[in-house]
This record gives sequence, C-alpha cells and structure tokens, in this order.
Amino acid sequence: MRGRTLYPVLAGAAWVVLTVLAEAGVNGLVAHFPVVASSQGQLIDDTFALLLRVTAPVFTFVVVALAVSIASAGEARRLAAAGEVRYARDNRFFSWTWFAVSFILNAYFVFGPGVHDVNAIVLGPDQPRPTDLVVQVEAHQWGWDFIYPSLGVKSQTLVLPVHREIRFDVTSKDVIHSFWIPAFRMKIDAVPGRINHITVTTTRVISTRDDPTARVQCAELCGIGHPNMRAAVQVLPPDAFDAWVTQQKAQQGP
Amino acid sequence: MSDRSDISVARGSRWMAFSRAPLLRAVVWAAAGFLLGAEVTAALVSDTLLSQDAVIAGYALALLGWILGIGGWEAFVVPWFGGEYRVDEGTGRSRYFRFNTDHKVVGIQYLVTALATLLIAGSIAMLMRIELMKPGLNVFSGPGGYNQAVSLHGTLMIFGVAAVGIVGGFGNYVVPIMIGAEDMAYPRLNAVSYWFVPMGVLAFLAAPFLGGWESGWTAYPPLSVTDGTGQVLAVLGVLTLGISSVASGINLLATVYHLRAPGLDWRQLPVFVWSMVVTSVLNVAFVPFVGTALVLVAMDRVAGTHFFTKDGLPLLYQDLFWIFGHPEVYILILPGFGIVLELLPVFARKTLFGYKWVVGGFLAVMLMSMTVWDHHMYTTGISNARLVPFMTTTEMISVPTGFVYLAALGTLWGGRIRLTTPMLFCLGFLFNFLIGGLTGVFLADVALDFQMQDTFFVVAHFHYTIMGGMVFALIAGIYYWFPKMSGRMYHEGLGRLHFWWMFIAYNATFLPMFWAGVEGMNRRVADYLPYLQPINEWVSAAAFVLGASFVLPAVHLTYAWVRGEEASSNPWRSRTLEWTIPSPPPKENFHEPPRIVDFYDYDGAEDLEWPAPSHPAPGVPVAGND
Repeated sequence: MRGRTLYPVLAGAAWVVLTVLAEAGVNGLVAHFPVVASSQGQLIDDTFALLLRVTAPVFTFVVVALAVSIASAGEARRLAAAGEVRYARDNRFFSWTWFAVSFILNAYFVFGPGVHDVNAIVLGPDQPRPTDLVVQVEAHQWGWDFIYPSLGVKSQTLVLPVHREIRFDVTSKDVIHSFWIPAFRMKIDAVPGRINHITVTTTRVISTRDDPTARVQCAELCGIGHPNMRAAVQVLPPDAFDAWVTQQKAQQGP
Repeated sequence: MSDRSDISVARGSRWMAFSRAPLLRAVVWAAAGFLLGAEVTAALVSDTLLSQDAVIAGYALALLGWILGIGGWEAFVVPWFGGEYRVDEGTGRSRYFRFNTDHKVVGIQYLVTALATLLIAGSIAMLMRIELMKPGLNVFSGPGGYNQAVSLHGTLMIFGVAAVGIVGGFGNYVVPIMIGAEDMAYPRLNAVSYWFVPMGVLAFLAAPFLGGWESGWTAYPPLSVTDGTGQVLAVLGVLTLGISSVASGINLLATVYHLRAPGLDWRQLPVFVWSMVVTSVLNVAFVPFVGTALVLVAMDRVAGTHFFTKDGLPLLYQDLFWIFGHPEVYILILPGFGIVLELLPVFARKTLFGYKWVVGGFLAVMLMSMTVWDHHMYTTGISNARLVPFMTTTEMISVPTGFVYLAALGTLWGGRIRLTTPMLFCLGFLFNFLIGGLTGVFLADVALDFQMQDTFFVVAHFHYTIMGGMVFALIAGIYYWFPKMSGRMYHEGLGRLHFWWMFIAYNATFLPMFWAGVEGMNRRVADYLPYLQPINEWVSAAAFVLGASFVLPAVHLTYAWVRGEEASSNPWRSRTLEWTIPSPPPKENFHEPPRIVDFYDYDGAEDLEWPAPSHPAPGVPVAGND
C-alpha cells in the first residue's frame, strides 16, 4: 500500500520542481528573443512568452505523469500479484477536472491574449489615419518595390522613420508572396489582384546591416528566386529620414 | 458442348496465361495507354508528346491500363458482361504482386508501399538537409531543384505515406479481424483501392522528369498555374490517391457497420476501430474538396479558365484546399491516436481508462476538424470577421484532442508497464505529440501567427505531429502486429535500440527548428542568411543521424520476416480478436465464431511475460480471453 501515497506525492513534488525549472528555461528563452523593433512585435513577443509560461506546467504535468507511471510499474506489479485488482474504467473527478481545466485554459487563450491582440494588431482602420505614413508594397518575382505616395518617392530598400505608424498596402504583380519583416514580427501576404494592409509602429532605429532580422523577406513559396527575395530595411531617426527623402527626390527627379 | 463454347474456353485460357504475370501485363497496358492517349492528344491538340495536355490524356489511359492489367479486367469488366469472376490471386509471396481480395494481403501491400515511399521521401529530406548545411550550397541543379525536392518530399509524405500508411495498412489488416469478420465488405473494391496507390506515387516520382513542379504539396496558385509541366502529374497523382482514399473509406465504414460479429456492439468496439471509423468519415467527406481544387488548377493550366490566377480568385483555392487540408491532418493523426490507445492497455496490463471520453473525443475532433481551416489563412488578408471564430475553434479542438492524453495517463497511472518496443514507441508518441499539440496552441493564436506563419516554427510543429506522432504510432503498430502478420518475432534488443536512436535523433533534429523559426528562418528556402548557419548545421547533422536510424529496422525487420523466431498466436497476451487466431491468420480468419469479451479488461489478467513463449503447452488457452 506504500506506493498508493508515495507515488502521488513524488509526482506532485516532481511536477513543482520541473515546472520551476521549465519556467526558468522560458525566462531564458524570452531573454534571447531576437530584437523587436515595433510595438506590435512587442505585443506578439509578450503573448508568445505568456503562452510559453502557461503551457510549461501542462508539459511538465504530462511528462511527470508518464515518468512516475513507468517508475511505479514494479510497485503496480507487486500490488497486482498480492491480490485482486480492479482497475478504474473512469474517474469522474479526474476526468471532469481535466475537461474543465483544458476548456478554461483554451477559452482563456482565445478570449484573453487572442482577442486582445487581434484588436490591437490586426483590426486596423479601413482607411489610413492622416498621421500614418503610407507605403505601397509591390511584390514581384523576385523583388520588392516600395512606393511612398505622399512623398513621391520609390525605393528598392525599405526606409522608415522611427516612432511612426506605418501603414503598408501590399500587393503582388504575379504570384502570391508574403511581406515579412522578422524584427517587426509582422507579415501579410501579397496577393495578386488585391491590396492587403498591415499597420506597424516602429519603435527603434535599426538597419539590416546591424541586424539581419531587420529585413524584408518573402515568406510564401513563390518560385526559384524565393529564398533570396529580400530587401534591406532601415529605420531612421525623423531628421535622417527627411534627409533620405530629400536625397531620393533629388535623384529621382520631379 | 458446341464448338462455340470451346473457342471461348480457349480464348479464356489465353487471357489467363497472360494474366499469370499480371504486374507485367499492367505495366505493358499502362505504357500502351500512355502512348495512345499522349499520341492522339499530341496529334490533335498540341505538337509534342510531353505537353501537359498530352500528359493528362496519356496518364488517364495509363491509369486505366494499369488497373485493368493488374486484374481489373477479370475482376470488373468480364463479370460486368456476364462472365465469371476469375482472377488468379496467386499463392505465397506472389499474392502481394497481384490483384488480391484478401484484406490481409491488401494491408501488407499498403504497408510495404507506404514504407518504401517513406524511405524515398526521407532520402529526399536528407538531400534537403545537405543543401541547408551552409548558405550558398547548390546540391540540386539550382534553387528550382530544391523547390522540386520540397514539393516531392511533402507530397509523397502526406499523400503517399501518412494518409495511407495506417489506414491502408492496419485499417485493412486489423479492422476486419478486430470486429470478427472474414474480410472487408467489398473485397474487390479493396483490392483495386490498393493498386491506385503505386500509380499515384509513380506519378509524383515521374514529375521531375517532365519539368518538375515547385509549388509544394499545397500547390498554391497562381504559382501552380505557371510552374513546370510536372505540376499536372502532381495533380493527377493526388487525384489517383484520392480515389483510393475515398474508396477505402467507404469500404471501412461499410465493413464496420455491417460485418461486426454478432454481439459486438458499437460501445465495445476497439478504439483502433473507432479511430478508423472517424478517419473514414473524414476521408469520404473531404478528399473530394482537394480533388475539386486541383482539377480547377489543371483547367487553369490547360484550358485558360483563370479560376485562380490574378484575374480570378487565388484565395478561393486556399479555402477549398484547407477545407480538405485541415480534416486531412486529423485523417493522419486520428489513426495514430487509435494505435497508441489500443496498445497502452496491453503493455500496461490495465484497463483502458476513459473509453467513453476517447470515443467522444474522436467524434468531437472529427466534427470540429471541419471548422478550423482558416487558421492556415490568417495572414492572407481574409476578412477580419473570420479571424476570431477560427481562432476559437482551433484553440478549442485541443480540448477533445486532450482526451487522448486523459485516457493515456489514466491508463498508464498505476499500470504494470513493460517497456517493450511497441510500448516505447507509444510513449515516444505521447511525448512528441505533446510538443506538437502545445505548439499548435501558439500557432492558433492570430497575432503569433503573423510572426510564425511560414517559418521553421510551423515546420517543426507539423513534423512533431505527423512524424513524431503519426510515424511513431505507425512504427509502434508495425512492431506490435509484426508477429501476427509474419508469424515471426523481431529481435527485442534491436527494436529498443531503434526506438532510442530514432527518438533522440528525432528530437535533436526538430526541437531546434522551433528556435530557428523564432530567429527568422523561413520555410521552403534553399538558401538563408549566414547568421542562421550554426543552427542549420546542427539540425542537418542531427537529421543525418535520424535518417540513418531507418536503416536498422529496414534490415532487422526484413531479416526477422524471413528468419525470425516463430511467434505464438498471442505473444503479447492481448485481448482483441486478432490475437485469438493463428499467426499469420488463415485466409478466412476465424474457424469458429469469435467470442466477444471486454477487450480492455485486464483485471487480474496474468502479467505480461517477456519474452513470450513461442510454443504454449497444448490445451492452454493463448487468447487471454479467459
């Protein structure tokens, strides 16, 4: 009978210890996330970290249950050899608790961070706000064109001012591509025949030369040139950005 | 007897003589069909023999020739015109190369074909990992070659391995015996279902020789409308395998519905049979969607219909594809759940915990899997009204999926666990699928998907569910039913070595891929920026160790099939019906009506002895039914 109490206690202790270790590991991962350069990206990283923290105990629970079951198999064999056993076909408390916990957790994922982030990140206004900098993104096999309609500039590198809301209107001339900037944590597909929008708020000065995650990368398989369908990104302080615009205008003519 | 009937007998026997080598006849008729279809089309429509119009017409007739040649002529055409069903189904090993209606032969045909396809598609993955060892390498002839490799690997693995491995292999071999039947409900349909599979796989493998295709297994247009001619062969291959899947789904449903032994109620069905039932419903209901989508792609290519080009609706394809595609991933994994939950009670010597939760969970997953497809399309710019509802269904499907773990942990807790090879693979499944399932929670989140979509995070996630899950379950099933199918035992030490080798190498390969995705490694690329090189070097090295692990069981199990020690009828002291009959089973399975018992009642059952005695004393019941 010793095992009847020993193994549940052992399992509980192991679960606590492993969960603490797992949470420490999660903290380590979060500390090593790549540089994030947009406020939307920060929200996404926060949700990522939150989900890691909440799912870590679920992971350790299952692993501990498996390990302790294996470790206690000898005890179970002795019990069975000693006398009649009648194995449970169900356990109302355990099963319904399991059901309730998994239901609540998943409902929380949806109606907690899930819906919050959809509102904050995805559901932008249909029309750009007057303060937004609009950038038209045209993808083609295999490259990117960035057009700044309000500034009268067209560029092959994506140059942006810091601390601004940038609204990207993304489309494609041929097949489906995907406009992804890892440092912003945002992507949207470039679909021929339609214009998709995302809004990104830049939060730090960054450039591809210093950090390779600050790049435009095609994320949707689009043919032979897909892996190298990249463009350089530069997020500049406002005056440097204005200088860039003036310089571009001078080069590109009226 | 009149002269007339003598002549027909003589002609009949000439046909029979040719049909003594049905595989050769099938190849000849398929080749003739291809040439006929392609030549006529080339003459009428296009100039060259290998234009896509010609390939489509040629393939259609080749498939017809192949099916008729292998035995469809005698099995369907002759009886249709009033003749007798006279197929020489062969004996011994030759049965496996013929049109054979024995569900056990068909099961082994499916299984061996799926495993051969697994090795081919796995070898392609090895080539991909060589390419990805360093940026700038070029092991294929150019990046187009890499995209072809990605496409072949994915298409072969999904349609040629994952979709048919367990359903075709064990669904055929085990389900009729588990329910106490003599065969499937429609044996001839079953035989012909199998013979579609090699043709579909060959269509994929032939595609690179016809200009290839580079749109992946998902074949998103407009790319799939403009890439190489091989794309039409990929479409035709999926259609061929789809016909097979729908037919085998109908067959399995009819079998379980009509052929259960007297006294075997739905509420007593083994959980593996239940998993086959829900899988078959999804196969019958949803495979036609991918057929529709791909036929429209083919029409865009050859008829200029512009369903999915930029003048049409490119995103409509993705909806059609994923309306099929997401039920499909449950078509792949539900059989894995079935195998694992079937095996856990045997090797834990303990009653299956929560049978009702399992069956309810299967049914709920089956229904909910129809409602989650848009989570593949969060970043395509779909209407905002579609985001939260599909995020809700996608997160919530983990509740019934979690019932598998409820049952697994409830069964294992306090069980008399023996770590035999099949049991190790089941436990490996539970560990791997746990990671696959939990990372699914991340990808279901709309906002996170804006970062993770199309990165290695997704690649790692679905490999954890399909390879770490479905393939581990498939291998567990292979070791478990090996003695039943072959009548021989494998070597337990080599089996365990296989598990630990594969399990460690598997996790070493795929766990770092999550992090590669976080760092900005996108999927389906032949090349990447230098900062991603260290992690890719590690993944490639681990992948080669993982790839090498497949050599061991290939050699070991082939040897054991021929030379292994003889197995008893019930080496695992399991209680389901397939273990109450000899190993391998006689053609008609049961000599006497099966006794229906509680299949999961291990109360007071004898401990699992290992190794099991191969020759039990005469008169001692071996079925474990007493």
